[in-house]
Amino acid sequence: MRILIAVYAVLFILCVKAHAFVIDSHISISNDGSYFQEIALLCEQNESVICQATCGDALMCLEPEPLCLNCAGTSSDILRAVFSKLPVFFEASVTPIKTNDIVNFLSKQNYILLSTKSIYNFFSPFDSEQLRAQFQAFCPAGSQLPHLAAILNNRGEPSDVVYAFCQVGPTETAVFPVFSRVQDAKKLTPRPRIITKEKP
Amino acid sequence: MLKTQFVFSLLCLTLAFSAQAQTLPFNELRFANRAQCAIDAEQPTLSAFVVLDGYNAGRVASNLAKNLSLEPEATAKAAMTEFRLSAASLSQLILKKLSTGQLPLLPTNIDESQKVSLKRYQQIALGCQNNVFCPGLRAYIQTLWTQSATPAKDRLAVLKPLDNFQRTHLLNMPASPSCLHLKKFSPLQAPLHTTGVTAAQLNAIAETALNSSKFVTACDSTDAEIDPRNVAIQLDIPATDLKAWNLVGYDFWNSYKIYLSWAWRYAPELKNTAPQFHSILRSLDFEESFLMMSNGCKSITLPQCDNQTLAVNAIRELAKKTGTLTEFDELVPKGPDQQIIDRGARAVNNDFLETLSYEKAEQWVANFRKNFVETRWIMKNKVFNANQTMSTIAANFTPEELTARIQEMLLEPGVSDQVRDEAAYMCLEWRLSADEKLDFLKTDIERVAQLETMAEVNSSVGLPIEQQIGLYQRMSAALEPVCESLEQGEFFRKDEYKTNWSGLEAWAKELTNASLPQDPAAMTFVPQINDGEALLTVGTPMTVICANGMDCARKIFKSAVDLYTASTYAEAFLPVSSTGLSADVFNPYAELKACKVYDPWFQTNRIRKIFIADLVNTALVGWNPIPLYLDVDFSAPKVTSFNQLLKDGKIQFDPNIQKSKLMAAVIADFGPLLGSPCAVQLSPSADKAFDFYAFSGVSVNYCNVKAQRGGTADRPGDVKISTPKDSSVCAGCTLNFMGVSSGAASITSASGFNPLKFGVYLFRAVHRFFKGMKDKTNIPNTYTIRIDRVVEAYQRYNGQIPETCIESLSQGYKCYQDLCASKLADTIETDWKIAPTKVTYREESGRRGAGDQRKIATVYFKQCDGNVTIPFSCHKRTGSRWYADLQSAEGTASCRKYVRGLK
Repeated sequence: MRILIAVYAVLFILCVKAHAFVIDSHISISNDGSYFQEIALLCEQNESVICQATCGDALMCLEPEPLCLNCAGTSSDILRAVFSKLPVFFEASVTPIKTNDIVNFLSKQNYILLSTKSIYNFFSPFDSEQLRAQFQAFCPAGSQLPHLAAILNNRGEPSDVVYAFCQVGPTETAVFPVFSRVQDAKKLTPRPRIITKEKP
Repeated sequence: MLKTQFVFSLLCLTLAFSAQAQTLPFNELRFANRAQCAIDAEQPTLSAFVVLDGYNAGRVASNLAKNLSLEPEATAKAAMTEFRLSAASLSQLILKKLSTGQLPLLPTNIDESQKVSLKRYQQIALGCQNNVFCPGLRAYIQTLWTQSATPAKDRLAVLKPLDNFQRTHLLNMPASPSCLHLKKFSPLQAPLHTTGVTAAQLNAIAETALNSSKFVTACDSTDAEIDPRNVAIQLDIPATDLKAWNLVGYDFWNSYKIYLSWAWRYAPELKNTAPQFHSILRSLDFEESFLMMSNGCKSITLPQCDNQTLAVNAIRELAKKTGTLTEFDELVPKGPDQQIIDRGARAVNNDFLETLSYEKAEQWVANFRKNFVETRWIMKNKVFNANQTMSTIAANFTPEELTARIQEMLLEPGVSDQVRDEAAYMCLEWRLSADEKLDFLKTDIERVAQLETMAEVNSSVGLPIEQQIGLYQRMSAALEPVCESLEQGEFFRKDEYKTNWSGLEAWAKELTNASLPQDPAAMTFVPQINDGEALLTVGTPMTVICANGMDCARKIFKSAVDLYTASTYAEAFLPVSSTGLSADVFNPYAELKACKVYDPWFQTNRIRKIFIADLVNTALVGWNPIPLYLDVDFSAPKVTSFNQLLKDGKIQFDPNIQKSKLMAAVIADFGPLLGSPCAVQLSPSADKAFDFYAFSGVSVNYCNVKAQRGGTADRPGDVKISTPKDSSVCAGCTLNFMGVSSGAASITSASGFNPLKFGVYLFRAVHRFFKGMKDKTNIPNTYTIRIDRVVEAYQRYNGQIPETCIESLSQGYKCYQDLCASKLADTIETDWKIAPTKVTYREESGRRGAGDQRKIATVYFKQCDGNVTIPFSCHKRTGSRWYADLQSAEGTASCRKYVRGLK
């Protein structure tokens, strides 16, 4: 039975339109010994355009995550929704986005990546089973736990959850739009994305 | 000629100041009684506490540690320590930059109606709705921060092109503000604990100051013993010119908070104090971890009679020990305006927040923060959950669709009692929350959509607040005919059906507690799920939003009530401001005075009015044989309720005041006239106390009071107190006047004019006046103590400050023989920069007229063998009529070389 599920999962992943890159957000230690949150983007040769557009390097981008205003606390409703009521407020589309959209997002948006191990989780136990199950529901079966991309407004606060980055293979990622379940009465509509990355 | 010579000697200054006491960075201690505290509330404070909560820093670091497989507890402690040190160091840095003019003051009030000299700042801040992190305001502050490194001589020239900066925006204080970590509340915060000054308190202050390391340390101390989780810091501003400070003090604190919030995120200096965690800590919700409280009666922001002041100051109730019920426990709050009427006058500066009952200051902070954070969590949850419920329902059903489903459910044949109960709950909850005719809460709830504060907390997820309120209104309108039809029809009158009210929502139970039978033992009510499937569920795993249509409607009403509850105290608990919260925690009279519930000058004016009335009585009846006179008193004005005004999205309170009323009684005073020690009083109001004799003594009194009083209420919270319709007849006898009255009787019988009676009445008037003015609570009174001078006196008198020092020390002077000597010594030290060791004085010969206070002082110094004589003027008891003629001072030869210009 398990083998059958695994086969179905692999077949499903193969059907998903994945891109040859992986993205990750993790804690790093800088040369002076201080901790910081870093976004790592690794691109395969055939999708080097993603890295190229993001940081100018064809294969790898390492960038500190931007300041996430008031994220280490309990004031952000977006973070509260993600970490305590994810399935109530958000759902992912089943159709992944195309390379152009990925490039546009990564190179132009000011965003942070949220995972079940996020340091900004003040609302539920760290990396709990329940949270993992809720995050997993945003990706195809068999993929790794997703990173949810939250865009930051011009003050630096999370203002929306827009994409789920699902790593479906060792070097493949499928990106699914995330929609609000509750924004508009009785319909689901893609959220407007108008915030652009500020020049450093 | 009577020759009286007052010679006062003074003990020599045998003990030097301890270095510790001299360097104590505390401001003067200002003691104030209730009336003075109310007056002081309208002045900017010179001393404030900052309470820091390390939880957020610890939690984020703990999450970080789990990512890196580090020890979470140790990592959290390291981050909390860096948080504490960084908050303290940045505070110190900003206070220093502000006090030395490196950073300019930013105006507090930038309303368009105000004349603000910094036009650009006003424009940007208004455009940003005062949010420090809005790009425009952030860039403006960034520029000011960068320019703070400019040399002082060039600073104004650099700042002028940015905005209309003037010299007045740049302070130049003589000393740096101090920043101390509080280990324990102590006599160094004595003005919070007492209103008067005694020798014992002075000794305690001195002893604490001499052992200050047990009670305070530098706020940036790296002492490992300091608990980084709960931190209390005291900031003292060394302003010497109080008049100048009162003009800029509120702007000073406003600027401090703005610069601090900005600097936490963007100032490069954070790297120095948080070497490991600076990058992570910049994302901290700093304002959630920071709270300011004024140390004493003065304020950090000017108290106004509005929801901002009342809601924020209400958090003082949370400083009481955990378990104390507060207004925040109410599911449907009466509101902070009603709370201050209910509480009325209360004690102040008697350690009512129990700071001294904790062994360590951090324990007091821990208790307060626990209560505060829990309440804040509840309030935030109310807003968030209301949003979740309303948004989810709105995304799936319209109120009309829900109503149709409800009708379907209720029209089914064989409706169960469970469904009838649920319908009863729904309709009662609708009546309580939304019925226009009853209007228990409808107006209040609808106003939530117009509040600026609630617009600020508007969530990025779900529906905006105004749409949530819109949903509530539509649901209410759709349900009205259904509920009216059910209530008027037979639905609830079925044979043997009796509503079991135990399933009513808790908020509705709170409102109807007295009128509906409650069954505490009843099982928890479970709404009916039709066909085994809840009406509205979301997500995977599944979350049930509501079981059926009635359940959805009830949840909409509950959400609306929760929004109203959270909005009532929004300024205190919801993230509505980009800068830290500050509250007048230790002075309840800040809002009582602002809202005119307490008039600090009433008692003073009352005593003066009574004095005038007594003098008139004396003139009219004091000399004649008629034993009647009018005794007057004045009732205090009373705020009976508030009108709530919504202006520019903010609630302001306009008090309805029952004016001060004259209460008069006719007294027949048989004592002085007829030799009888008795009097009779007829008063139209029993509020008039029977107090005809000014002297205390052995008395027998009888009063017969007929009272008819009470209040009426047109709506909840609007109680009108009716004028008392009562009267009293009192009679009393006392032994005190026996001798006086006998004498009076004999004189009266001889001439018809009674000078003794006149004198007695005059004495009575004066006595009542001075007795009244000694009211320790309601006549404004203040003392100011300089800690270094208390320590000096303590050491000089070998650890026992004598009673004679109290007067001088409590007016901020060093202790010399009496107040006049102390004032003269202070003047000499200030002008000549040389401290006397001894001051004696005598009355100036040939000037003995009434009110003449001129004296000749002989002053001795350590630096010379001889002495200096100085003419001066001073009222011996009060220290008033002060003048020191230093120009006419004459000295012996040995002293002339030390005192410049001496004759």
